[in-house]
Amino acid sequence: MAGYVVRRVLWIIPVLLTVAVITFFLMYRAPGGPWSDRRRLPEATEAALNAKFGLDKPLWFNGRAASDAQARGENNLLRVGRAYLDSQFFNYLFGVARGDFGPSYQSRGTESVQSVLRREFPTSAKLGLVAITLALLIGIPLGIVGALRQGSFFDHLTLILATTGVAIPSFVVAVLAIVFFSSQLGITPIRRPEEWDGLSTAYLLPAIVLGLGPMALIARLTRSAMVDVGHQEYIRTARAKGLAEGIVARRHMLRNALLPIVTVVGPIAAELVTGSIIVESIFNVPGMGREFVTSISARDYSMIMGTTLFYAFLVVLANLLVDVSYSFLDPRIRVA
Amino acid sequence: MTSLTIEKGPTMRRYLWIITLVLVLVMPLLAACGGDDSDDEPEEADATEQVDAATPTGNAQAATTPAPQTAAEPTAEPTEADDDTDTSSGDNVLRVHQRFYPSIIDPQQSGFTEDIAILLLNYEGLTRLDENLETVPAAAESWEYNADATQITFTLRDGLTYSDGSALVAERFRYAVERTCDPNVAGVYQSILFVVAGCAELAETDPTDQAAYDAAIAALGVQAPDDSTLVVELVQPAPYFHTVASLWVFFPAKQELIEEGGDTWWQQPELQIGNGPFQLERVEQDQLVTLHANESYWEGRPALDGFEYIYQPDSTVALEAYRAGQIDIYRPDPSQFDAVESDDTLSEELVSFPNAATNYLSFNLTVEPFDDPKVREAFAYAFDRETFCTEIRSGDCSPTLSLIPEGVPGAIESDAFAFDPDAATQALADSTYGGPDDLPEITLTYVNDDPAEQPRVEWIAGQFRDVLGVEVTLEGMESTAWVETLYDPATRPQMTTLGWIGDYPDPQNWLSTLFTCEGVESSSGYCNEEFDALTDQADSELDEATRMDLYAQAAELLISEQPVIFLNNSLSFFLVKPEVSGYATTAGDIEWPGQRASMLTITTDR
Amino acid sequence: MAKTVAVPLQPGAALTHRRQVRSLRRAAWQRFRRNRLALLSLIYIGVLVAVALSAPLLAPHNPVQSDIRAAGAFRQAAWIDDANPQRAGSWTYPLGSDSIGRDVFSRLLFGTRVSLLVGLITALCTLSIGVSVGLAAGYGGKRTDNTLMRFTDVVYAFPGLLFFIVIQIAFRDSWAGNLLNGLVLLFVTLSIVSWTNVARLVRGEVLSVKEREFIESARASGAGDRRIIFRHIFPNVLGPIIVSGAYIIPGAIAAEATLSYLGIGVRPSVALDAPFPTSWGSMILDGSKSWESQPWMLLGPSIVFASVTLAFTFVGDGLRDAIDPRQQ
Repeated sequence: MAGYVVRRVLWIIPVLLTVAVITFFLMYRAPGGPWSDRRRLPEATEAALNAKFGLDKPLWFNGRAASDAQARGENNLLRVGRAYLDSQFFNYLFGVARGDFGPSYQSRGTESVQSVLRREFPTSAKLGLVAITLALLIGIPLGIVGALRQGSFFDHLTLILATTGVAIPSFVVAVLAIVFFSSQLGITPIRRPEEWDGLSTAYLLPAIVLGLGPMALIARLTRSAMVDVGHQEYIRTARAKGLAEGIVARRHMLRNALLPIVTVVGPIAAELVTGSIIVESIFNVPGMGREFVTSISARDYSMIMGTTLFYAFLVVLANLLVDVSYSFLDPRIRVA
Repeated sequence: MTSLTIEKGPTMRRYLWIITLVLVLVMPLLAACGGDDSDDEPEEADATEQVDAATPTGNAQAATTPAPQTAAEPTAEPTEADDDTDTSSGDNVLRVHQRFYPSIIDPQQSGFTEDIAILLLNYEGLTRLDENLETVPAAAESWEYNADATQITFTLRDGLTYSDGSALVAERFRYAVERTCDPNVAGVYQSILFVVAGCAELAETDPTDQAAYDAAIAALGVQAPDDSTLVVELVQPAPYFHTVASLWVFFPAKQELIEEGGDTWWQQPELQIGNGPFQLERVEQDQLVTLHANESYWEGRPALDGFEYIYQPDSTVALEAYRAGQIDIYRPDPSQFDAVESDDTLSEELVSFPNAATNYLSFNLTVEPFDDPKVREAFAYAFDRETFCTEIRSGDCSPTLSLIPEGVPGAIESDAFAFDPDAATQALADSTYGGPDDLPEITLTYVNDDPAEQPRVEWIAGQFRDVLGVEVTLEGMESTAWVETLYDPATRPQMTTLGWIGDYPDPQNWLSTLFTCEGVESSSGYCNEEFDALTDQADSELDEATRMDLYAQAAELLISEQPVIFLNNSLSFFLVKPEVSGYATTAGDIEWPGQRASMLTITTDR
Repeated sequence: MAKTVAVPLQPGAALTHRRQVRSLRRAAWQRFRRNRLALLSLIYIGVLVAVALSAPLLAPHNPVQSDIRAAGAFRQAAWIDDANPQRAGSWTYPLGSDSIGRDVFSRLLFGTRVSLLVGLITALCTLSIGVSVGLAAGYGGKRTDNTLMRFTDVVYAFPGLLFFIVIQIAFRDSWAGNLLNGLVLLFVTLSIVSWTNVARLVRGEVLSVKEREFIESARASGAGDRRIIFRHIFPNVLGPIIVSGAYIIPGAIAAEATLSYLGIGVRPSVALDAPFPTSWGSMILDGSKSWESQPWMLLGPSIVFASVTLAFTFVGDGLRDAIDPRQQ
């Protein structure tokens, strides 16, 4: 197991590298650049800015610099190699290795990407964690009861909730929820920025809206898995032995039914935690989700790379945790 | 045992889930509607109310005939600051809703209304506009032109200070002019100061050439011979220049603070020390901008203790926040007008007045087919401006066929290219294409940040389809990308809607600023020497009557060439809480009623 | 203890086997038919497909034509009265009109086309890719599992929104982007982004099922890998596949709405004979802005969309129950 985990952790690096290459490639496909977000700039200024931030270097490989170095009589292979890799992509990678994710171009270099992330990620993370917790806390019991009471009113209720969770797009639910809570319960729609520090009740409504979809999926998956498991032999054996329904449910069914849930929850959690653009913008949450979309519009290359890599890292981590938990949930599974 | 057989039981249970589903979907809506006053139950009283409120165009048109003044609906007389304003309480804060967060809040770089809304509170120029949109003294207590209006001398008030108490001297204003013309800064409003001697040359200088740059700075025609005097040299007679001195390019941001903060200095409130009625206190990206009253303002502190701009892009949430009392002033989206007007409370709180703003459909004259004037005419004839304003935009505009809005000096009457489907098809037949079939692909580009805009452009495209038989392709763009395409004829959209809001009530700000070969709209490819000759002459003409006549000729010429299709003039509609008083609206108020002239007097009763 | 296995494999039983398979299918269909809810849902979906195909015949008005003078903007639904005659409900416009005077009901009928198409095709593509990868990863050895899962990781780790936006910007104006108003681009991007969940789910299930006794016995009696996968493993992992399949369809329809909200959805077209003028997603988007003025702009497509989601869920559940060999 330990060897497996180590190997998986090592695999993270090539995965992230591939994501970086793809992102880099895609980013530059979009027309425009980081300096055109606010106003037209005179060419000289733009050239100066590009030089300052190294955006005038070639994208992938700097053949010119390498041959220049050789022409200068540079014999040290390491130095020539480094010149060859004096490109935007590799300079970025070297920076990341040092922990420097580059300057945020929207801030014209006054703030670094890691500083922006440090500022905004906690808010999105809190929101996402509350959302996934709610989804699990409500979804799993709903699914269990639905499975145990198949065909009952309760079963149909979970079905309806599941339907609304998926059927109504989040921007509609968000707005309706705000209006409903404001007009009926007097909860003010717009939050002050300081309300997002710590863990205040401000997080509750957006977390509910955010968690509705996952909650629906979890409830249905739980129900389906438990119904499946319920038919398997060892459960029938347990029933035949006369064990009380409750014990049968809890001990045997749940553990194995958790499998598909865990598979899904991991990546969903990673996704929620990195912010949802719609919920964040409608609820005025100063989080990462909105920042991500803004940086795409603003062609803030280092911000896009940083957020993408961060997101990818979380997803890969979540998947690893899920895979490791497989062997705990069902001892017969051997992943390692 | 299959999983989903519904047990045979009382019929109620069988249908219970259908009912619950419907309830879950409909309940929030019902709840929200129930929270309002009667939506769908028309009573006699409601009927009359709706009819009254539903004719804002009527009101506005009545109000546009005189000069852009205080308009119809409830506006209080500008009162003196109430003596019971408790400087210690700090509760008297006006909260205004804004949809878009500013992209840059920098006096010499900003160009959009959301940026300027903040600048106007934090700073002040040498002059300002009063509620009649006439230029009155502000930081300068007087000014004087020389004989032929090629030089203007401003005299500053005694004892002027910034909000932090430091002295505000003429050198600060000189720096503002220099910074505006600086090629490193290159704000969108730069060209408005090209009438200053040496400004255009400085703006063209290569900033990396230090010698040339220094020389150009030294040659700039603005001096501050002493702390209270500013002398500006002009390249030609410009008798309107004292009005230009009220614009944000003249706002005296402190040089040392700008240099300290670098490119993003404007994001830090402590570096934006200003001389206006309010002082910037807090800047939270995409959320909130707050200002507090400036006690050292030369005219006395404002009635309000503080001012807040609250940013929320979703109009439904914003309206709800207004209802909940979180914001005091809200500008409803046209798609909400129906709901607002049928609401008893909200319809009472609606304030409307005309704006000195013209919206037009602009063409790119450097590409086919709009290089052909007959094609442009055809599209102009095909646009039903009346229906567009009353039905599609729910009455928030009034149609126009010329550039300058009624009530602004220089406005002319015209009925050229009014809606006429027959003339439209005829014009298209007369064009080089002979009809709709040979036309190249035409794209109408629009900003799709606001989902409510999409049906409106679909209607416009539908018009062209029905009247001309032309299939127009619709292309939505995010606003930042769209802004970028406007500056270069190569990237400029074939057709897109634009608007211009008058900065000051003078035809120079409309005709010369926009449509000359160097003007703001020059990237559309419009450049007519005759037009430029007329406006140049008018700009420097000292005799008022001759001047207006020249401008009128230029305006007629513009209409006959149709480089853009003039669509309508905006009407402002605002929901204002009854606690807010002490404001007078002007045609220049875009972000909130009283923006131009009532900063000191507007107050709430909190 | 009775073993309820799919088919007990015995050498030399090929002929009987095939007959048994056919009768198995028929048995599954019988079971499905007995589930009235699932059957009704299937019929409902069929009706919607028919509506989508014959929309031009059924719609009272052209969905793109904005007849603002006659229809009026924000006309209420037929059974709602209003003091303003331009806004009072009338059965000529059963669900009222939208912000520029288009008939909501006609648009709803035409919207069925895009929405069903988006849902079904995306689900098909997503499931094909996801199930194949998942089966291969789960059943193949550790190395296959590893490689495939790392590949899935890369695709999954890539933020979908970035992918969408960039693909839209890059390909919008190309010939590929213009197919069906950008619908094809939408299917492809949606499928590329969604298949990973299915793959992981399937893989997890396969890993679990792989170890059960009946698989051991099948292997012991000499069945080849392919047979084991298709005859034994696949039917047993169908459960979660069907449940997620039932969610992919409405998920894709909702995704189209969200993308339109962000401005990167299907391009609007105003051609009078446009086959795909609108979608439920775009209608929900329009309606969400104007629901206070005319609630049925939002309610109409929402209710239809929700009912379709329910229908697919019931069909999915019914399918799963019918196919599950261990059901009595």
